[in-house]
Amino acid sequence: MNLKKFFKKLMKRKMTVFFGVIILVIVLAGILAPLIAPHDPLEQNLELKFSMPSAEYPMGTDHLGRCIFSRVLFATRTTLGFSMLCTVLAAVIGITLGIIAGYKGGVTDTIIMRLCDVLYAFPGIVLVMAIVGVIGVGIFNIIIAMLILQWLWYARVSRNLAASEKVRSYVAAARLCGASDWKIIFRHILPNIIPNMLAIFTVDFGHTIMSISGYSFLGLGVQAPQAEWGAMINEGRNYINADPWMMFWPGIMILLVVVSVNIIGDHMRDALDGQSS
Amino acid sequence: MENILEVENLQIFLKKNRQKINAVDQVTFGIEKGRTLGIIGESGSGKSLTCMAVMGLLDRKMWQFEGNVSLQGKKLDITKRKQMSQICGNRMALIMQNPMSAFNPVITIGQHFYETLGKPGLPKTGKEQMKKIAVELLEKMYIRDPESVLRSYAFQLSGGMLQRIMIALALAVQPDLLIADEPTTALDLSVQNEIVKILKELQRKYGMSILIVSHDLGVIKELADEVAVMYAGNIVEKGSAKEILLNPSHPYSKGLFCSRPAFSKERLTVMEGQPPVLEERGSGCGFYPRCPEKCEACKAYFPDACTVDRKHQIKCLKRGGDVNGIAGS
Amino acid sequence: MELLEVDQAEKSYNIRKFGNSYRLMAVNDVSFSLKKGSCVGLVGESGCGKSTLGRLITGLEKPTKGQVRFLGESVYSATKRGRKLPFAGKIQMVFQDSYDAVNPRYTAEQIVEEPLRNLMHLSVKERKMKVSELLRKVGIPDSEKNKYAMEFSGGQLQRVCIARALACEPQLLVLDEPLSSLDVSVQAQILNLLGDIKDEGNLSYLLISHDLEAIYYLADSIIVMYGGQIMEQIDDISLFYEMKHPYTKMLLSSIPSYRNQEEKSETAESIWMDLGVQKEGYTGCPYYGRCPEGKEVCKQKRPEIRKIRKGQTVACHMIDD
Repeated sequence: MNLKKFFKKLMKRKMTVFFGVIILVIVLAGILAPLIAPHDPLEQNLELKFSMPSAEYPMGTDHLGRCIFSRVLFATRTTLGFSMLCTVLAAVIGITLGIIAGYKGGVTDTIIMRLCDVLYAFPGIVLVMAIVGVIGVGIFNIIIAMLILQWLWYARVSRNLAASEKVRSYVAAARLCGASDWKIIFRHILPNIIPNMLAIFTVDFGHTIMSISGYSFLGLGVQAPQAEWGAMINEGRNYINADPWMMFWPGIMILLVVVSVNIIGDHMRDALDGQSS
Repeated sequence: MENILEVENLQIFLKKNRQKINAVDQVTFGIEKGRTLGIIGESGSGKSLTCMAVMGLLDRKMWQFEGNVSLQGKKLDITKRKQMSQICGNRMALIMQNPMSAFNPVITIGQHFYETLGKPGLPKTGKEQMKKIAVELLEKMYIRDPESVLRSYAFQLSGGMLQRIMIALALAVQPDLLIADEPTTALDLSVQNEIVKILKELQRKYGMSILIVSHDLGVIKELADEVAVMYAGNIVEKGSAKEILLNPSHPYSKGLFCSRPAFSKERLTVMEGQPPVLEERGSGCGFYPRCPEKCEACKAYFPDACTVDRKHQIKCLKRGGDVNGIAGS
Repeated sequence: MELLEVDQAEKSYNIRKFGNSYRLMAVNDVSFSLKKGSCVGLVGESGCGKSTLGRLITGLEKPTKGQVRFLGESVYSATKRGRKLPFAGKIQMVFQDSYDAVNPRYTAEQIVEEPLRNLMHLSVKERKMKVSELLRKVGIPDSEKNKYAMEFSGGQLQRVCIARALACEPQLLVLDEPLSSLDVSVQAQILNLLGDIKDEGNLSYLLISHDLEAIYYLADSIIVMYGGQIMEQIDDISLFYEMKHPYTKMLLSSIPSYRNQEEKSETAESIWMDLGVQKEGYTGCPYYGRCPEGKEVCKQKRPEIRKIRKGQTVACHMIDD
């Protein structure tokens, strides 16, 4: 499968481009947050607490009089950044183990896949809670706990893809051309399964955003006063009657990002299906 | 004699990006009762497409048709799915290229038979009766132990066996016309030979007509009474089997027949190049780029069929083909 | 020294099918040798083990028993590191489905470059020149070397595959049904190309095919396989019509040639379901079930392969010396 063709096909659908632009804008806003944000996200101004949106505070202020707009912008960095870190790590671990299992086969395959089966038997949230209970609260601990289960999906899919690529005759041809196992994996198998992995990665990224925000909402992940969408919703929870804006803004951001990412992921899968048939 | 199937000026267009690409162009042929027409051609020549269109199996979202198809003098509307499926079940039957993928892997061979025999339009029969018919049909195909074959699944049987079963299934409805699309290509040499023999025998016994599509000249020689050679969506030459196989006239037929090594070690004479891609066909003769006898006029004009000898027709400017008065030199 | 020696090679697989598992003898006690510069044709029906034998010879698979030696050395090396094949480049293979045999993300140039990059120490410039030379040799113009694999037609891509196989000046080329996925007119082109390459250098071929006409065209000697075993072997292809084994005779009679005008027998044979002749433990002649001359002894004992005259060996009880 050709990556260039894959993207070309993907870009044919207007919906994909539209949601792609949304993601791009949000990510850019997060990166440029210090330049765009009108206030320091931690700067308190108790006199102005619960103020309505205005020119100075585009999204109003929270219970401590902090600028919600600035906090949402800076929260983009934390939420998306940590989610990205978590997903990338999971993908790297999963794909590496998956390809090794699929390509080597035999005992290696059995060990890795049985390990996957065992881990699949654990309920995700309970496992994360238990791990965080032992090693303590904090975003990095949450990421470590999440990784334990997150790589499974990548491993399973990449294992199956690698196993099916391995029996194709071009791999045999490569061996006859003097390629070692590593060369075959890096030059032939990996590039051919990347588009599939990208589709999974995109959908998984959406899930991870939800999880990271969710755990922060529960107070297990990012700690106050640092801005994070889930944590901001949690802060707003107490004032839901007095000032619904506090929950609304971070909530809408999560919705927007996750929906966009999921739709792009779905379209990626469609593009892949079309290409294989 | 009366023609069972008559295809007149059949044109098939592929719809792609709001464009219409001509995949099969002005195909005309007829099959007499009890006779066999063989269509020879390479991949992409439109031979399978023609079969599918005649059977009404092409998706109307992707394809568009023009021209007439009539079965036993009655015109068929090949765009109407429902009507076609009834006719296909009762009067025309299809054998496909790959017997392995033509069966549903989760139901037994027997169930395939019951499904076919239980179709609306056929006389109603009980299960015992159907089983008896199925066993009889399989016995006609020289399958030993048909009872256990009926109980088995497609993946348990060999390709040759499945192809025989597929023919038996096609015969279950006692069709007037059997369309066989590359029935032997996926099979081994010895099995191929068996299938050809079976088809021949059936035709003798039941007097049905066969339309056989193949790129294997040997199979065509064995079976066909008349032969049509297709290239790039056109029938370039058509006539009796004897005449065409022994004395081909169109440069493409000539080249094709020379391409097989006939148990000799002499260097083969080959046609250079590849058959044209669907999108790149011009208005002229499709064979122009590969033709050893081409002239400038061939590039722009494609002649209508002209008769060489009684039934022998050919589409070639160099062989007396004629377009709007521009005669080939 | 013989270029290639196959010494009682055997390859078996465990088949597990809904509870009844058995060992399938894909290749069963096969021995033959190949001289330098010659071309051996290997004929057989699908499932007779001819492709497995091809993979054993290239070293892609390891025989369960027996040996495959190339210039006196085993083709499946004991050295484990990275599992590089010891005769990579020297033994090459051309596959049936050319689209499956190349990485779909590679251009023609990259495909042909791969063995050069892995096995030869050349500068980038030398490499590019060599690639162009190889592509020209198989009839791919320079202007098309940047096309991706999927943009080629089947015949052209098969040419690219042949160029790749020729890159490291191999001594043995295993051709595994190189024609069967191609059109008739393109088959002829590839056959001619293979013939030309053979005439040019000291290359040996093992041509695996079910197409007897193609084998006759290219091969010097012929081996007929059935049920994982060699049924008949002749060293000189000109004795083609004097092959004696009942299976070979059946194959010869079933060639559908449009040229010969003689009428063939018209009644079809019956076939049966049992295909268990390749199961481990079967002791009779594999062809017994279909053989018109089969006797009790064929059912009991597997016929030894033996010489019936110079350059011809047969495995059949019914043939006298």
